[in-house]
Amino acid sequence: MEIKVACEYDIVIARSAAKTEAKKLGFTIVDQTRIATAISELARNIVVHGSDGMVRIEAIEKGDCKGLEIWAIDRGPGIENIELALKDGWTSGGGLGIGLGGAKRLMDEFEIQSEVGKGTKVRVVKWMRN
Amino acid sequence: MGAINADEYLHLLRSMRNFVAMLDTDGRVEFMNRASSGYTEEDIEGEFLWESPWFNRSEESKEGVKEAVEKALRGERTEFEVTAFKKDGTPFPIIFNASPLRDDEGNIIGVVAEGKSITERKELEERLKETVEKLKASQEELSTPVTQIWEGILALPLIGVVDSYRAQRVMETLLNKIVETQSELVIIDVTGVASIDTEVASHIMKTVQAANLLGARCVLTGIRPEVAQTMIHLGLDFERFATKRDMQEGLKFGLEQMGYEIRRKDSDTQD
Amino acid sequence: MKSEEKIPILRIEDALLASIQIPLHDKLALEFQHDLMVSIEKTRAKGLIIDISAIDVVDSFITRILVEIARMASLMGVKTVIVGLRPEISITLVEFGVQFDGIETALNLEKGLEKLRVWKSK
Repeated sequence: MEIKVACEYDIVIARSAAKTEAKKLGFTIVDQTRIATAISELARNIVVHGSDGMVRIEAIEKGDCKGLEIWAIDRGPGIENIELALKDGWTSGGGLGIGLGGAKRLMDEFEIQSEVGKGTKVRVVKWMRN
Repeated sequence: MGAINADEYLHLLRSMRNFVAMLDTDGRVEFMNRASSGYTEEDIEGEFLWESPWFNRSEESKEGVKEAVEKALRGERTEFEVTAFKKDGTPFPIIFNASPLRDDEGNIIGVVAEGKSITERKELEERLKETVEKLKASQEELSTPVTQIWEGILALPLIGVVDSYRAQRVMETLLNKIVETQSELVIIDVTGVASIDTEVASHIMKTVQAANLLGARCVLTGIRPEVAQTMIHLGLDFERFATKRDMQEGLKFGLEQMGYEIRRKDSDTQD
Repeated sequence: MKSEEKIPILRIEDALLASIQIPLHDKLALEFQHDLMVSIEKTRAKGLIIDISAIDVVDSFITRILVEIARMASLMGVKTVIVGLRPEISITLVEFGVQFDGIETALNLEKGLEKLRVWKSK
C-alpha cells in the first residue's frame, strides 16, 4: 500500500493506514500505537521539509515471524548529518527534535539513507512477538 | 519356512495400510496396491505418476513428485511431505517416498512409490499447538497477577525469571489495570526476583514512568542485593518511585499516602 | 483563513475543560491555543483541563502543542492537567522519549479536577 505524503492531512491518513494494517496482522494495541506514532513522525518529517514523498506499508515474513515494513521516501533536501539528526533534542523543523530518534526507539528495525539535495529514505520494521 | 505364492503376495500388498505403486522406467504407474481416495485402478494406471489426478492439481505437488521419481530412477531415494488430492478434489497431506526398484543384478527397472496419509498426525499437531498456546496464556495470567489489594492500590508480585517479553506483558497488564481500577498506587514486589538484567530493569523503569503518566505512584518492595546492584549501576532515577523493605511496609506506606491512619482498636482506651 | 472546525471550551467549577476530539492540524492547533488563552483571561479560570481520551496517537507535534499550552497557561497563572491518556499512549510516550516533565497528568476529569483543587489549596 502506498500513500502520498505532501501536506499535513496526509500524516493522519498515513498513520491511520499503518495502524489499520497493523491491526489486521494481529499486532497488539500497544504495538499498533507504536507503529502509528513512528509513521506519524516519519511522515511529518517529509511534510515539514516541504518535500513530496510517500509512505509504503507492506506485510512481510521472516521464517515464522510476521512483521510490518514501512518505507518513508521523499525527494527533499536530504539530511546532512544523520547521526546528529538521530540525537534527541536536535531539530531543524521546529518540532520537539525527537522525531527520528523516537521513531527508531519505537520500532524493531530502522534504516536510513539520505543524500543532501537528493532526498531521504527511511525503512522501519516491527515484528510480531510470539 | 514356507514360501508364499504369488496370490498371497498380492493379498499382502493389497492389505497394506499404506499406498504402494510400481512405476516403470518412464515413471508410469504399472501397478498400485489398491484403489484409494476415490480413484480406481483405471484412473491411475498407465499415467505418469506426477500427471495422475492425485498430484496434477497442484504445480508444487506435480513438480515435487516428478523430481522424486527422476531421482529414484537415478538411484536416489527421497522422502518428503506433499499434498495429494482425492477424486473429489479435497487436498490431504501425505508423506511421499520414492525408491529405485532393482532386479537381482541391481539394475534399476522401475520405481517404488509409497504414500502415507498424515491427516491425523497433522490434526494432532494442530491440537497440540492450540494446547500449548492455551497453556502459555494461562501461565502468563498466573505469572502476571495484578491484584487490587485496597481501593486505589494495586499489588504486583513479580516471581521467577523475568525476561524482556514477560516484562513487556506485565507492563501492559498493569497499565490497563490502573485505568480499569483508577488506582493511584502500585506496589511492585520483587522479592521473588533473584536477579534482573539491564533490559528488564529498563522495562521496570518504563513501567514506572508510564504509570506516573496515568497518575499512579509506584513503590518497589523487596529489592534483593543483586537487583539493587544492577539498579545502581544503571543509574536509575530514584526520584520516580519509593522503595520499601517488603509488601507489608509498602502497603502501610501506601495507605498513609492516601491519608489513612492505622491504629489498633484498643490503643485508645486508657484506664 | 480560519479553519471551520473549532474545539469547544467548557467551564467546570473555576477551571476550563477542552476535549480534543478531532485531529489537530497546524492551523487548528494555533487557533485552539489562542482560544484557550482568551478564555482563560475572560473567565479568570484558575485551572485548565485538556482531555485527550479521544486521541489514539500522540506524536511529537501533539506533545509540543500540549507542552506549549501548559507553558502559556502557566504564564497567565493557570495550572494545566492533561487527562484521558490511554495506557498504550503512556507506554509510547515513555519509549518515544518525550519529556512530559512539568506537565501534570491525571487519569480522568474527576481526578484532574481534584489535582487542581489540591494545587489551589497549597
